[in-house]
Amino acid sequence: MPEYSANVPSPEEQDVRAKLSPDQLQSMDQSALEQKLAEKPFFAFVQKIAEKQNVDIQKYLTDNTPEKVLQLAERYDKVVRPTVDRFKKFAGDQFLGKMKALPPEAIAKAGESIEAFMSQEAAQEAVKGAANLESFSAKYSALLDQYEHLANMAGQLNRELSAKYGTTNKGELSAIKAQAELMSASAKTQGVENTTIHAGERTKIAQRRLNSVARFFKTIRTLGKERRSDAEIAEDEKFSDAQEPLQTKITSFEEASLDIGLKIPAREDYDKQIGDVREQILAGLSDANKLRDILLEATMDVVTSGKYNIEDAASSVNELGDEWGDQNDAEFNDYIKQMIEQTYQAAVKRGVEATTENINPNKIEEFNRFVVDNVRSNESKQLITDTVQQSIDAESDKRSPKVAQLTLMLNRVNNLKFS
Amino acid sequence: MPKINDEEFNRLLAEKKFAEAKALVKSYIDQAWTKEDEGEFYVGLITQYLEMSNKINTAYITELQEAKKDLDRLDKAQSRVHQTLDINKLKEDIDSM
Repeated sequence: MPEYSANVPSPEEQDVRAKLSPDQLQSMDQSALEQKLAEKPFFAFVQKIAEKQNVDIQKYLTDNTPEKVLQLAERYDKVVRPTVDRFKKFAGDQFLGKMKALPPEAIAKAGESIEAFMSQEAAQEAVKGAANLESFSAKYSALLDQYEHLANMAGQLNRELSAKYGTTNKGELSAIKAQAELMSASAKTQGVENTTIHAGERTKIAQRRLNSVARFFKTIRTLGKERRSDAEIAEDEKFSDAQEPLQTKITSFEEASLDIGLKIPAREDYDKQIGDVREQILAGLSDANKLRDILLEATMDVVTSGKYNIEDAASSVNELGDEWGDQNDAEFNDYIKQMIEQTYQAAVKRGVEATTENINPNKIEEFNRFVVDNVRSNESKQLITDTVQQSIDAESDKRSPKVAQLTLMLNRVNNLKFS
Repeated sequence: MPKINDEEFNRLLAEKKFAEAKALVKSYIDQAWTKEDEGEFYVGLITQYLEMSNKINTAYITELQEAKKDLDRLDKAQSRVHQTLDINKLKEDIDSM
């Protein structure tokens, strides 16, 4: 029996177009275009392009052939739509959803405004040339790609370490260590010569934590790199030196293991020493993990608080610093607090700078000109300050994004120098 | 939409009409934001959050990788020492035979 296929392959679009008359072609494109324009987001996108070109949408559609607009629709579906959807999804799931005081309807509204802005930005790029849509997409995708990549990488490394040294195995390690300690003590009483590979005292708990934390913060502090003074750099060096004792221990373990002629101590004693160092590294990792969580939370607080106030941030930092309040090492606690505070302040400063660039710059510029032109007396300065401050107070409970803009305005008034 | 009017503001101040001067400034700063303005604000915040989070996570991953490297070095050293101890024990056993 011969086999018959029910599948009829679809002809290529260009083959179909080649067989149609110009009238038929236009009619087909027109119909496809009408269908496409019935999609609200695409219609809004075309409308914004028309606005950018200072024409109404009817004129835009008359000036451009249906074929050309359909090509734009193709780029829109392939580049703009996925970028906007991805960013909106991140905004809803991982950002706005975490803003404590934002009710669900406000999140939905924020999503709509994000779409409106991104669509406007994409339209701006489309006006410059269709190819520019790629750079629009790349800008947002790069950030999200990196975010996902780093989250996956951290997750994978954590799983690997947890599988090998994690909570389950950590219990085992502790049991082995405890057993090794008992056997070691017993061996000593029997007069067995135990040569310690390392002389030296056990590292203090605070010092142990410091090693890891110092390294972690050293990288984090690149946030404020351009503003670091020589004294701050020297401070970094000092704390990075704290890493050395642990590294020296590991290196000497390695050297000892390669030295065939070395008199090796009893296995239990050796295991106990190496177990101690291993636990120091794991404790440092646990601190780094806590710090990361706190910093991420602090970042979220800073960028969503709606009031970029360094004093508020600093007092929150003191509360965060109390996390380490159970440590007896005052110097260590001060160091942690200081580091978090600096990171926090760098974040706040960045927040203000980013806001200056991002929010309605025309309005801010206009207000700045107004302030420069009019603040000639303490009286007028006070009047403008009071007015802006009242507006901030009125908005602050609503967590309105406008508060950020008003705060910038207030800073501008307060920072103005009188000649 | 209202714009700030410098001349008007200065005139009101000169005439000590402070309430009216305040109202003038307020009318400017109370201007409504468009949907796009608000979207721009949120996109700015989220972008800033992503940049900061990426820096924090990069530092954290560096820490994890460094720790993993140190732990691997320790494991290898321990394994080599155990091997040597086992060989020595074997030698002793052979010698005592």
